[in-house]
Amino acid sequence: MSLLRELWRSLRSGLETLGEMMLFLGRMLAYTPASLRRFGLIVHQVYNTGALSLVIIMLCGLFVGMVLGLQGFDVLQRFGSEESLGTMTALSLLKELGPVVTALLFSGRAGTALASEIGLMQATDQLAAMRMMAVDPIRRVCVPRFVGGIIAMPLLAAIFSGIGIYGAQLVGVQMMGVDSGQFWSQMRASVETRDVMEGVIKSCVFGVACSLIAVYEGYNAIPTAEGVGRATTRTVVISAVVTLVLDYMLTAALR
Amino acid sequence: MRQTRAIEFSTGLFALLGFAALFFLLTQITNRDIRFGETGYQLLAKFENIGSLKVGAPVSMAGVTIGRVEKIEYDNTEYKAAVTLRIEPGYNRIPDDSDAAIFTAGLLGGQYIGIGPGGSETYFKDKDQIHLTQSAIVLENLISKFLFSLAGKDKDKDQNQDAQGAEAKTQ
Amino acid sequence: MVEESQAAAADIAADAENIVTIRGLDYGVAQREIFRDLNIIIRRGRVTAIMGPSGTGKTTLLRLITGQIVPDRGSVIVDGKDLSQLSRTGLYALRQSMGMLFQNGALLTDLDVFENIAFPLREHTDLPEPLIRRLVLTKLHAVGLRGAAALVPAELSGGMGRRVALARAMVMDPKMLIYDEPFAGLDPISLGVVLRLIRQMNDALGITSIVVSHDVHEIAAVADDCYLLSGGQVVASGNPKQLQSSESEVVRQFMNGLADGPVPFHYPAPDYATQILAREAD
Repeated sequence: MSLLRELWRSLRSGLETLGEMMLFLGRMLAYTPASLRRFGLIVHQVYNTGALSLVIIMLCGLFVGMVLGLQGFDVLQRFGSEESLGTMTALSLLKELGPVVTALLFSGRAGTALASEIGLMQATDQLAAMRMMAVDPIRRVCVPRFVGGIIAMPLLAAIFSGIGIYGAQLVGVQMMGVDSGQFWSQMRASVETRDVMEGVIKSCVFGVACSLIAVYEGYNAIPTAEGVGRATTRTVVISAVVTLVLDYMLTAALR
Repeated sequence: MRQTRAIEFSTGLFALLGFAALFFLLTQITNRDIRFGETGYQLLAKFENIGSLKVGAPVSMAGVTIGRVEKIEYDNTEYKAAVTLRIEPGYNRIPDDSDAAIFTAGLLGGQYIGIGPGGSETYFKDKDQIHLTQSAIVLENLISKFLFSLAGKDKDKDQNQDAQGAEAKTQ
Repeated sequence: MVEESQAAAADIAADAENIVTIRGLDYGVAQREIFRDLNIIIRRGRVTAIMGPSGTGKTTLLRLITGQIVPDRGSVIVDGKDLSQLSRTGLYALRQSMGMLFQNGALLTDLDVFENIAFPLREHTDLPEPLIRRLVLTKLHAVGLRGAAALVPAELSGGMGRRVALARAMVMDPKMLIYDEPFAGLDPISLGVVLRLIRQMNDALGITSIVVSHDVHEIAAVADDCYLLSGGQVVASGNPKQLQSSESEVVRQFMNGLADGPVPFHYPAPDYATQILAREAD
């Protein structure tokens, strides 16, 4: 019986958090036009979340692409359809792996950085000092980071997919001997603009979700060392779950 | 904020890389769509069953794509599917007794329309209709036909056996 | 209710002399009552010290004065404005005329010293860059750190950080400066520096200073008025000399640093003998 009560309590707190996050999002959106005028801050945050994540994204993209190439070749070979390797890897990356894996990596690297940065500012009274100086910390600290994350995500996902396809090509064509012409022409024949756009839409939505979660957790962290640590952990966990749930919903909606 | 210059430069580089990747994905990976605008001419074909044919599916002759499916509608009087094809202007020597059939590309591919050339000396003009059509092969119909023919063979066999049995008895 | 608003009106009228008037303040958190029927007056142009044992809510009082938290009962009038009547924009506007020095300086760690001090100017004004530079360097000079403009907060010592925070609090030329435990953790020299600055700034700029501290002897040297808080009430007020010569036990314990007295040495616990013997019997 107490298990049900626990479940109910988790559900209730989950809903409360969701509601608070939506209100927080609303407050941030209200400040966004004002923040866009201080574009320098946003550029700095795009650097923080995007440019600094480039290495991990490119590295992981390369290896995911290479694994796709290898596994794909193995599996397709059983049906005698190795030439479809290009199609298979491109579609997998563009529609699913690109946006989703990038989102997970983003929340791990940039999301935790955002959450711990803001959480620490909260813990060392910096945000309170800002309020005392009549500067709303949401406008000055949260919104630029939120917008920076949203801008960075689709770009990172595109880079991930692009490098992934190159990695697949590296393994499939260079190493396993799939015909280069077939690889690219089959891909071109079956991949449509719609597929690429699906990936872009997904990565934009994931960008909004992951950035929102990171900034929210940091801003509402309990101002102790333990609190900031918990906020960082929660960022990664909640981002991962939300990303995958949204992934299913978007896939169903965009069919 | 002395680092600002370096940060702005790196960010610009990052944005450039991102957009370049996006551009690459959009142009190099996708097929060049034949924008079926107003170029070319239209042909009409009616089918009993179009299966899973979609708007935008290719129309080909001898395996070469010569056009696209532009519109799919339902004809209420003949109870058939009316498919409008848009053929590229360069392919204007299609004999007017050619047939149109719905094929499936590969094992699991999408469906497309293949036009088999006839022998007529006159060619299709804009807004003509292809009269010889063959519908898509629907798997269920195929299976039931097969089962039906099996049952038919069994019935013949039984009839033969009965006849033989009857013969044996009368002997 | 009528009496309250009448009192508030009277306070606003008397505002020429008093920059902050707190009347009948009640405030509690969770089940704990922090203040009850608190009355404090901060006079313009003076250095007022607010003292008391740890945990009496001195920082909470500052947050009530700056409008960061709202009292359960009573009124807080600052510079002629009733805080409970102000909207968020009104509150922010009021805060621009107040400067606050936080307990640890609370400098923004991702900016250097110059940018930290320039922060309020960049956020609230459209001043041209050369003018901002001049203002920042002037304030830095006033606190003696003009040469440290390029350093980052992580590179500053405690005392230097405090001084930078003071420069930042002053950069918008506020009417009131609030210091939250400015001497905590400082060595004697830095302490002397900060002390000197508090008094100098107050007189040179003609502003009001509120200092929350429990470094009794230090603050007594520069304060004009003192308030001693304990148990959510004002237990003594007046100028430093009056407090030093007070007869009250509470005041004497605090001013002389006695270990036991009205503020007990032992944290509440069950009877000693009973607890010890119970253990042994097991």
